[in-house]
Amino acid sequence: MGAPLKTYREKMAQTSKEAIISVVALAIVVIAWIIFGFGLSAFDIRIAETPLWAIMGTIGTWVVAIIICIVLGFGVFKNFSLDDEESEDAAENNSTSPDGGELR
Amino acid sequence: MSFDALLGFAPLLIFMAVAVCMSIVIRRHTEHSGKGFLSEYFIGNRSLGGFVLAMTTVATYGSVSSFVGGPGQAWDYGFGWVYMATCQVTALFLLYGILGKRMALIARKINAVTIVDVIRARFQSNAVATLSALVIVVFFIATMVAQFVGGARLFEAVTGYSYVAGLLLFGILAIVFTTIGGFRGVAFTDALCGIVMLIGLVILAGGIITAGGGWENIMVAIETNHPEMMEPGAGGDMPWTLYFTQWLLVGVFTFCLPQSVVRTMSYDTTKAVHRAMLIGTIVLGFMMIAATTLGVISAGILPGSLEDYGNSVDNIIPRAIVASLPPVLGGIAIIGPIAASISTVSSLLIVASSSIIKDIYITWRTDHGHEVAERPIAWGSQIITLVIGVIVLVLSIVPPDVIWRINMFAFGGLETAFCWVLVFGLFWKRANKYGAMLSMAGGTLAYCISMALGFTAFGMHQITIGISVSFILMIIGSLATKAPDVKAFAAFFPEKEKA
Repeated sequence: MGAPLKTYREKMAQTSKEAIISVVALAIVVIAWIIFGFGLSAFDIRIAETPLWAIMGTIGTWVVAIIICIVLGFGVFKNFSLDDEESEDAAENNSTSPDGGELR
Repeated sequence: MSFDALLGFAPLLIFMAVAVCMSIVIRRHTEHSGKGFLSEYFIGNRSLGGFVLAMTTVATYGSVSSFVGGPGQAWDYGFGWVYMATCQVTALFLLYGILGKRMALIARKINAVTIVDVIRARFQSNAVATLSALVIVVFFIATMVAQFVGGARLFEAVTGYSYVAGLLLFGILAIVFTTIGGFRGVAFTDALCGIVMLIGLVILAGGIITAGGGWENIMVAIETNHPEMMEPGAGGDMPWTLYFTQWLLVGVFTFCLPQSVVRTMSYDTTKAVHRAMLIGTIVLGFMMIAATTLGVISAGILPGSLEDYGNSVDNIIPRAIVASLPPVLGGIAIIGPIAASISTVSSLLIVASSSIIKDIYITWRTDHGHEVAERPIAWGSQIITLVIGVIVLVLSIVPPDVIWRINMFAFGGLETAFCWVLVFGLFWKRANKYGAMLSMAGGTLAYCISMALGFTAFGMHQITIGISVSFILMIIGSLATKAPDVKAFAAFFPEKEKA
């Protein structure tokens, strides 16, 4: 899991990584959607008289998205405090925050 | 009033009473919290947990057209429409994954209450901020009218009461509980609406499947009467361009809709946002897939042509409710779409109100050297919420003919205006106020003009034009002008610590 993120800069860098990972996750869902839907529509397979492509293209894609959310939210994405610990620490140490404190 | 009509009406009344009581309780609970009014009223003091965050985002996103228009189209096109609607399962992880934590960190750092606050701080420009606020107000009013119109038409079709009676009933309710409860009230009533939407879907599914003689019978009937409904291309009626543009319009770019983005500033911990991502994807996926599938299986109990159902696909779900459910269950099923309408309106109303009072009025006053006291702001915010709500209600009583189509139009307009301003603003240091202004104004203008003229690129929805123009103008506008001073917005791009 690595060391906990402490500084504002580290946390912001982590959000950039997570944004890129989310775009990759989108690509995975799109690929799954195409294979499950358009791909399987080439086969005449039915479950309860319902075309398999219709089940997999919808419910299958949804399940893939849910799995991605589990993997990202409980494995890949990091937890950290959203409050400005850095400024609090800086105040405690009576020193200046490296990114110049709050903008107004 | 007949007994049946009363039965059909009772569940809606109970739901509305619960929603108003909830707002009042939340208001009383937060009144003496001791925290600033603006932060509480417009952002709920950044204290939402995972479940409420997920449900408020889903309920804001799921509008009356998700329950009426979309399923109506699915009745016409078949499973291809459900397949296309599935693109919406990406909405939550894109919103929270791309913008979620970054917006939350920045909003806390700069003490932002609205997304316009964030845009103003990033681009150091009142002009860009004011334009953002105006775009929000204009497109939101159009969307809210469309929601009210959709909800009231559904009410009229199912209960038999007049359109105006329905509109006044749930319109006034939505305005009242938004005005009283503020953002936190909206978030909690959204959660209630979301739960009710799910219950409505399950009840209607049970009704249609039973009335159609079981799932398999319905499938066989559809296969026999309309075999093209079983193909992803719907017999040639759903080309790849339609799929592609719907992916952009209701899938990929929804993460930058202001009414969704504001929610990334309202939660308390990263654990909450991770949980919301999962719960939201489960609920939204179920809602969208189930709602549009209901449209498909309605073809099993409504086998006629469109002319038989008033020449509008919007009549399909109301007819399916009436044809498949007894009055009291129909009364419960109708709460789903009406709750979808109410929850979208309330969320838009609170953001539109914050745009006027916080982003335009307070900024203007402080720029002119006037102090703005807390008490008048509190009153002003509630009065503005009330006034916008009443304007929307009045516009909905005699809606312009085009208003129903404006819903999707506004969706695309907001995405065009905000997508690159937010993405480049948050992730590209070089983006400056000129690029932002050009991107927002030029992209929105290109989108609106191409919509008005009916001009398309390769037959695709005009979102492709708007979003491309907006992208190009952001790049050109930023690179062709002076680079911004990054120190002026250090909260967005913090410098390396000096040794």
